[in-house]
Amino acid sequence: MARRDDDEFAAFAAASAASLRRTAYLICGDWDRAADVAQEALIRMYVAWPRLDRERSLLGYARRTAVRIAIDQARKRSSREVPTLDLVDVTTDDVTSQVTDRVLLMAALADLPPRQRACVVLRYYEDLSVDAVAQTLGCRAGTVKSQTARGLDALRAAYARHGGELRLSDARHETTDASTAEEVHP
Amino acid sequence: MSTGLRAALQDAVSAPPPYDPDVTAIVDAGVRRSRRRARAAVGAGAAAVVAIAVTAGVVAGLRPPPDPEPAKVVRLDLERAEHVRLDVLATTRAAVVGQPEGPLERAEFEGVTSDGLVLVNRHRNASRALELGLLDPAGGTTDWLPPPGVDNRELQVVDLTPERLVVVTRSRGAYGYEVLVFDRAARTWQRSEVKLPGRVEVHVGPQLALGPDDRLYFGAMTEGQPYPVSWWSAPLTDDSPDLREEPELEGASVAWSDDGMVSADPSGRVVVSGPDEERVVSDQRPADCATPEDFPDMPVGLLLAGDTPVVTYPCRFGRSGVVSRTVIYEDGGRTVVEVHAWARSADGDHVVLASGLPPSLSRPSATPEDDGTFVVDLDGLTVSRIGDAPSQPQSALGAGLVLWTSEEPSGDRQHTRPVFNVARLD
Repeated sequence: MARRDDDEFAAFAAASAASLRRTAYLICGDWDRAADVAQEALIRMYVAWPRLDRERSLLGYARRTAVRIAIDQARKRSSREVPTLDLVDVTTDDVTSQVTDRVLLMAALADLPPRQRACVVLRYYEDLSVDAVAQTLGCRAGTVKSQTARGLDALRAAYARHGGELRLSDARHETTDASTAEEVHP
Repeated sequence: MSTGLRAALQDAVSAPPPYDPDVTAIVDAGVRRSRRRARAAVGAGAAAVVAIAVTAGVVAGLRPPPDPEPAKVVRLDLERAEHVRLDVLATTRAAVVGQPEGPLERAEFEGVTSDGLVLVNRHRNASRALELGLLDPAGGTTDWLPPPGVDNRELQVVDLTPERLVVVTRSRGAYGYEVLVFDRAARTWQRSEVKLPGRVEVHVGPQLALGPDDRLYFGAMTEGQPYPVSWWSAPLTDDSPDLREEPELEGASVAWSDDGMVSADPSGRVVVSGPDEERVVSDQRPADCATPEDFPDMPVGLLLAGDTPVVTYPCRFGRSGVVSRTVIYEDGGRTVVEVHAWARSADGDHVVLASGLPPSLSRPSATPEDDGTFVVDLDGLTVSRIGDAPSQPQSALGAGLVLWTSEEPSGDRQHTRPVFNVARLD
């Protein structure tokens, strides 16, 4: 790659690495592994860089790459994952603390199959449309809807078991969530 | 308590641990991978048009000065290798069970084709005939090939492509080898026999290398003597091939890449010989790796990771012990990766290592090293442990798949049996 392209890529990598790591963390549940995913995604970006269309979203391409890597790794690791939290031990009172809430969310996410996890993260963390998620995961929109719905059901059930309630709507996302609810429960 | 999903997801990543990505390392890894991809894209076709005069190889007169000292030496520590448990797609356990023709004594995986199929070798209690199949590790089905009509004796894999399979077995006569070429489209075998001179070592299989002129090169030591390895070649597809001596290759281990012939000798000299130039990748053995006292000409192991030479040196240990040291010469030798293990297989992105020593180097005094089977990622220059150290190590890489062996109890407490595994690496 030409030096100018290298500089351009380096700037992109520096700007996007943290964001990619955050998305990867929500899928893999481990910050170190998420950093590895981000790095691998950026290496693949570098290889593809000369032929990438700069008019389209480079971050979108990087995110798609990172999510696919994270899903692949989650599948490889699924047979040896050891739960780090026994949800049965979490009491209703504990759930009120922010830290425990975070642990509950990550444990519930970890219980989802990797593809469902990715659908939930891309829809509700990255705020991607159903079509955009389908493009990212390389599947049909209908699959995204069904996978997201199953994932949300499992998350709600996990929260309910511990006396909590998981809402799809935040005040700032009221409008979006109304359409989301229709999309995930066709 | 009521939790909004979006807020909870944002909160979960709101206080990440410190992160300072090394963009330079990412670019370096990207450069290495791009380079390998570009070379791989040139493909095997290019090898055919590289008119390499073998005689211009190891001892040719044109010998430019060696490249400058390596700019970077990376030493990989096996003790710190992350233990990765790969999801196994296929094992030989499944191959042994449920055969309609009756039970097998055992099955072995011999290699992986470049289109992602596993070469299976099945051994029957009642038959000595060689029986090979191609297992689709994703679907679990095996396409058993027509019988090649030879005995099943010490199979060695040479080349497994979508077009053909090239394997070699020992023939019934002493010093003889059956060269078998399977045309995958026509589903036919071509068979020829090569007889090496009577003085060669028969207890250790020969080194095999496929040259660009479709000649198969045989490298063998002299039985019971500390002489350098000698080479012969024969056309791959002749029914009655003429064996040609290759004295110019004596003492070296050889392989062919897109750039030309790669040779590596016990002195640590690693050379890439193309049609127009000879490039010296290394001119010395690794530091602290003296030649074995009893056998100074003991050949080095040579593999190609794409066109990157991967050389395993036998190093003297104590008075008469031997240990393995593998050196990966990246970027034409400008980056040198060293690791205390034996390189078993390589492709453009990975090298599989095993602890211990190749059969030709096995001796009682060899020192146990960090036991295990390891994979080096050539992009990140990192090493991971994928398994233990089996007594029957076997390894191959191809189409993103890795083949390796593990061990499990065989029914009584005294013995174990090898299990051949295949998993996806990326």
